[in-house]
Amino acid sequence: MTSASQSVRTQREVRHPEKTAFLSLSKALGRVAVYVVLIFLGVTWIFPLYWMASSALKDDPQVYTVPPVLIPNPAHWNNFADAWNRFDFNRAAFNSVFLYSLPVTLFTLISSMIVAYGFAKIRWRGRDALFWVCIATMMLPWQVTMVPLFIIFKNLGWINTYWPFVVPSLFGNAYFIFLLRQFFLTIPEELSDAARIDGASEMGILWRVILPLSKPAIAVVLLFRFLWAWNDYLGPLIYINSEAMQPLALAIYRMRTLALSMGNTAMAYPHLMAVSTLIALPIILMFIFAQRTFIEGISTTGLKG
Amino acid sequence: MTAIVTGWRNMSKTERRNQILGLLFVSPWLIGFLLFALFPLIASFYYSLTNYDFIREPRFIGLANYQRLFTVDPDFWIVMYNTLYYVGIGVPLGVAVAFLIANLLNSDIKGRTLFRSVIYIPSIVPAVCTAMVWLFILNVQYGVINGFLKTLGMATIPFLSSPDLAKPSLIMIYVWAQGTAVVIFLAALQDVPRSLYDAALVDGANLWQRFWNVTVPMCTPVILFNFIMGIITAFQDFTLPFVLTGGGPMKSTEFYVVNLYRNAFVQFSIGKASAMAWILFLIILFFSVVLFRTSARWVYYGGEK
Amino acid sequence: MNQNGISRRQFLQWSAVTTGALLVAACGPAAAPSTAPAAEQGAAPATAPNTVQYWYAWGNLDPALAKIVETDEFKEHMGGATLEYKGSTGQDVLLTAIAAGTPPDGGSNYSYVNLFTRGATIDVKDMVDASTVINKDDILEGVWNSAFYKGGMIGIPGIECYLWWGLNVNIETAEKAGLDASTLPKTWDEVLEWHKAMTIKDDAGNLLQFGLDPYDAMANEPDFISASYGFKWFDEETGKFDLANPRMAEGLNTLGEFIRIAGPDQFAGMRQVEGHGTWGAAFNAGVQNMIIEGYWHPGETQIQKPEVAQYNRASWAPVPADRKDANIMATGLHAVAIFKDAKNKEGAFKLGEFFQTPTALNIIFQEVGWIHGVKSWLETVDKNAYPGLSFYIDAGPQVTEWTIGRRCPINDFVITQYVELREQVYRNLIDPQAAAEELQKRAEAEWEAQGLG
Repeated sequence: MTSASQSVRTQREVRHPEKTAFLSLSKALGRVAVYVVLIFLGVTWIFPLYWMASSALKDDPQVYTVPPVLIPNPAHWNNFADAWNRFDFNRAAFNSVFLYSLPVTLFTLISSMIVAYGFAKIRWRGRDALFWVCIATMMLPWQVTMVPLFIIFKNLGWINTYWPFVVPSLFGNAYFIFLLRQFFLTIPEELSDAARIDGASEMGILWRVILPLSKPAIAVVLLFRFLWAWNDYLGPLIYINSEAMQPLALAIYRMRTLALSMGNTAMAYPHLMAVSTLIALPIILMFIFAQRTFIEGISTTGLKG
Repeated sequence: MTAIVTGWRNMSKTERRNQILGLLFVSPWLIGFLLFALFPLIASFYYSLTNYDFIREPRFIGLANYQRLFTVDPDFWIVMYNTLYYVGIGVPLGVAVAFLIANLLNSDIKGRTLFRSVIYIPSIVPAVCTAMVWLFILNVQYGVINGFLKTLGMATIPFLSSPDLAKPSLIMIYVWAQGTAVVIFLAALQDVPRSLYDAALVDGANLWQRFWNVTVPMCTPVILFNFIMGIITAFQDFTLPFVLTGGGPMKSTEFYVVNLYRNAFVQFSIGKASAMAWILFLIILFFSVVLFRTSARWVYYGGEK
Repeated sequence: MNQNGISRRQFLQWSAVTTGALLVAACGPAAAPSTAPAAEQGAAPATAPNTVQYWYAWGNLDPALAKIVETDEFKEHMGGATLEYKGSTGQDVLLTAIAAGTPPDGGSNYSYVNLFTRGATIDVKDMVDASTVINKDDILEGVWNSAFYKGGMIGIPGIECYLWWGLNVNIETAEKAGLDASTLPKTWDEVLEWHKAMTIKDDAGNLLQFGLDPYDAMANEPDFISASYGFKWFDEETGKFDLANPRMAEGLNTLGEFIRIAGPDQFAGMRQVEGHGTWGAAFNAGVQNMIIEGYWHPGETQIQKPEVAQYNRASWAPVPADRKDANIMATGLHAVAIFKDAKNKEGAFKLGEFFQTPTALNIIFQEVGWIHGVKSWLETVDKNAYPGLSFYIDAGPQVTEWTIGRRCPINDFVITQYVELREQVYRNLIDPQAAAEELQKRAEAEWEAQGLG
């Protein structure tokens, strides 16, 4: 069943040659079974995403027909452009990237690194108690503080801006502080001590010694923070109320409202799927190109997508 | 903090310097914690004792919001039941399926990376996109699954339009998006020492016995971790029910945070919403305490020995 | 984590100190929300914006506004101010903006009474009295009256304020189903027969086509069922509810029968893809063939789907057999409401005024199919412009029972509860009378909770 047991079994076969024939048959059957199950699961798991992408290429008759069309022929590639232009998605993409995801990601990284350094590399009293509190805040659901935070930001006049996302990112994020702190602890103390003897400041050590050695952890922070911002729906739903300011996640929901509510349903479904595909694509590509970083990030800290 | 103050006089110069530097480095988080977590939490409690509605002045009404929620509110217990149903069935099912898939992936197969990617990607695609796709996969009239059922002359299944099936359908989608747990399990499985399987084989244990007596006990800490993190995050699921079913049919998918959002930002019942936020906080706190109490058994450090 | 040697006692000590300190710190700022908006208000007029922001929940008014802003009359009336309009903007978005203190200047198609009673919109009575454009005597009495709540004026009535209820039927489908479409059904029993005849399922029991969703469109609201069955569910003067009325239970049972015949799950599934509450989309698609809608239905259908609209006919909204002579009709308010925190109240008012002018009325009628109850203009309307419209234009004098719709400040809340409870009835999960009593109980509790009692 597991790779470990497979290799163990191989050793044993050598020791008991009389059983080899039977075992290799059952082993082969077992393997086939594993592949069959995995392929079935794989197809099931990927199907919704396939359906999203393939429906994006259909026209209305191909959508509303029984039996369902699995492979659209002809494929309507112009749907992507048509759907994107049906609404101001360029502006929404700009908002998503430049007003929300990028600044928040960058600021979270910088602030979390500084805090993590304070928790990992400087010895001071109360440090571990505070770190414990920091971890505890990871469990605090955002919805619990949603209303008072809204009132605070409202009084600051920050509604319909991205300040409610950007400003808190200047104060670090518990998940990433935790992740970076754990990583910093693996960097030998001798390196920073040596730098201290050379007269480096703590900030200098963080910048010149720790940072170059922490690239894997930094990559995890960048990827996940970007992902969360890109996917965020509830936050913008509450804070952003003008069409010009909305990010992609809101824009597509609004497109659905517009397309379905007033009987203006022509091409609504293929266009919705086309935009969904375009919004999901950067995330999927990001994963494909940075797979190792993703997997390591999750394996060490259990970061949710 | 008292320890810090009383200890100050006994510190050496370096210790004092480190004390200041340490606090300075973690101050972004500390300030952020006070501003964006602790203060809103307390403010939330204050609002929960008032009838604030964003427009009129808040008036203190004691525990009336809590009392109404528990006694006369038409939604609270429905919402609580829905959420407990979703969490109570979805999380154990999600953990079990993720664990089984991880075990399959951990066998000696080709294309593990591909399978892992296929299973993982759904958990990072924006929920607002997947919600739209599922709508058109599961819809009783136009969905692809029912399209095939119709082709075969079978009765359709009202996945999202029957109050009995809507929650199970959402649970199905929840399980589909458990790629994160699969990756965590896979990492844990790869850490199980081969010698244990070796020993089990010598004792003549079959596949099932090896799984049950070696794999499961070795992974218990991670199972527990995924279980509790699953509970905490499933309580907060918003986008999927909000976009997919909007709480219906017949309030069967009106989950806690969806209802909280509605009370706060649609009904303007800030007092009631704040009371709900505090109840949620206490529920999560309970599970967090369980998590911490058992932490010694599950905490997994990438670097620390 | 534990290796760091922090004991639980130390942790508790620390947290107690911090919490205490923060509690002290928090007491001051907690009062902040009440003071801050005042400061914002004070600062606002200084900028004197030359734009008017106007939001509305409709999705199909945009083309009309696009034409209106281009007219010389509009430009002149607005004195050069530009109109920033934003359609399909739901109540939730609006409320968030109100909460944030950044509402638009004017808004339409929201829960007017609710916003007004909470003080989110202003009383426009003085502005209307001073206006030379708005002529009270030229506006239908029911429409005019609907603009008032407890003496205050909710907004400037306009855009589309006309007759709200009629049974619209696709007579082509009716005839195909073997029905005599020269006389449209009037009682629920008759309508139910038509519904049965028009409902078609495939061999597998899937719904292909149906007659009437009795809870769709205008029939979605408690106003309708109560008027049809001849009782008043909410008394505006006393603030009392009469939802537990036995006739309510009777109505829930009868109307539920329509859905039981077609299949509750099939109905719910259709709604999920046809859009929120459908509002005619299913009628356009030929899936729903009878719909209880207002005067706008003929025009909207003509504009969106002329091939279906040609078969549209309208008649009186259904009533129970023992009330077969009752001709029920509703009217109610659509208005430009002006927000308390608006930056350009004057501009929003001017927009409301302009909606009374023939220029605006004609454009809206042509582009969207909507009518505002301005008597002098109504005489110029071609009642045969859209199939089915003539019923509404001629209906006025024959109406025996008028309802002014959406007068309850917690109308939205009651609708939500009504939607849930009626679904329990047609799914046979609750006795109709018990559902009616439960609805009464919930409405009273909410009324109390909102401090309206």
